[in-house]
Amino acid sequence: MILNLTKKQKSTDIEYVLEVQTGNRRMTERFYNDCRRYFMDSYKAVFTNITIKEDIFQQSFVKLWTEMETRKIWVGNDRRIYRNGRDGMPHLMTCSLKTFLIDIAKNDYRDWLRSDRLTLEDDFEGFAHLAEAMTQVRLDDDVEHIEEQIVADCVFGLPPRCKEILTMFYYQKMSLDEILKARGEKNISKNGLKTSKHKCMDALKGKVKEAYNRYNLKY
Amino acid sequence: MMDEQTLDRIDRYLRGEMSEKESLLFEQDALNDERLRKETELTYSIKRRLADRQQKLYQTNKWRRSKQSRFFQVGGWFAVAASLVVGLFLIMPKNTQTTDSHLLAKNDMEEMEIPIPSMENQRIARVEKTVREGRHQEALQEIEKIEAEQELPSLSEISTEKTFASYTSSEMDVDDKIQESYELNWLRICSLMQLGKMKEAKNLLADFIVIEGIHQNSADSLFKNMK
Repeated sequence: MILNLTKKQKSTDIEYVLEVQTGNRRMTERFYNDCRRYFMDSYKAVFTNITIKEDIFQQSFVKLWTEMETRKIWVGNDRRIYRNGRDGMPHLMTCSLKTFLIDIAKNDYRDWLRSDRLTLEDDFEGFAHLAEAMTQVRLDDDVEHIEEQIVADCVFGLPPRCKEILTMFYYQKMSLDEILKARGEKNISKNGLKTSKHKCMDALKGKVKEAYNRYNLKY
Repeated sequence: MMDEQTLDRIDRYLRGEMSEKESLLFEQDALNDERLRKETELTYSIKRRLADRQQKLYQTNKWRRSKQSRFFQVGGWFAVAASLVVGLFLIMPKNTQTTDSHLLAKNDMEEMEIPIPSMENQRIARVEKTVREGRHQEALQEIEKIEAEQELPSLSEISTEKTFASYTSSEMDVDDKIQESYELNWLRICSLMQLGKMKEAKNLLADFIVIEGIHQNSADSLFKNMK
């Protein structure tokens, strides 16, 4: 009897981008596992602190996944992968998605190092790097996707503390008292937290509006 | 820039905290006031992105866990199979009857030591299980009980020694006690944090981070975050 043993076929980056964009969860999971394997193999060579590797990977992967989903990363008619760059034009991706993931992780790692040293007030100064981190989008893309990309970029660029407070408030629907308790911050009052939340939201909205204006989008 | 009251109103609307009547009034206002409408749309869009990010994080965590559990499932079957094979090898020579004395394989069964987990390891495993099952209060009580019964050194006593290596091998008993106290205190920190007792956890972590051990990096990272 002849056994037909075929090797499990690996998916290409193009397949991953296309499938993730159609919302194929099985392929997204496969992509996740592929990336994870690659990331864990490369991590030690790139980063010094290994205790946060899982967190860094999860965050970076979610960022990459979002970029694919909001079509910031897309497949052209010539069957090549492009990414919308800072100059507002699509750029051919010259590295694989996994290598690009490591690049995102490096930025996240730097942010983590920075946030580790930040005091509460410094958090808002941390916003300065947002403008730098914000990338421009393709003008011929449809408006809905551009808006999504802008908001997603700005949300991902938020300082970690702001991200946490806003997620607790808007997503988990926690009250300010509950947020205070959950974060265990003793040196901040309820009013202080409310002000922080407003500051985070104001700065975030400011960045989104700035980007809308830059692309002549109606706000 | 919108005033704080209006922003609070938008939040209340988007968080579903308004009564039906209030919601209707808000929607009417938003229809007549373009600025309010735009601000609400933007806040909603941000809320959606935050939710999307969080859901993706949950999803990736789920994938990670499912991969781990698949690994342990497969690993579990391998372990069962391996134990059966090892068991057969251990039993078979004993049942083999042969008269040829020089061909008789020496049966080391009686001399072989089957590793039995030490008492302290059993105790640690028991507490670990309690923590894993989320019974943190119970875990804390159990830790206290063990510490009192076994007369284990406190964390501050260990931390003043700075390193386990400072104990010589002849002080094996002391070493075991230190090891047990170290593991139990790590579990205590985990439980305290889960119970929201951050101050107590932080105090323990302050002692923990100076001890050289397998949890030192994690403790260091936690301590920095708490600070």
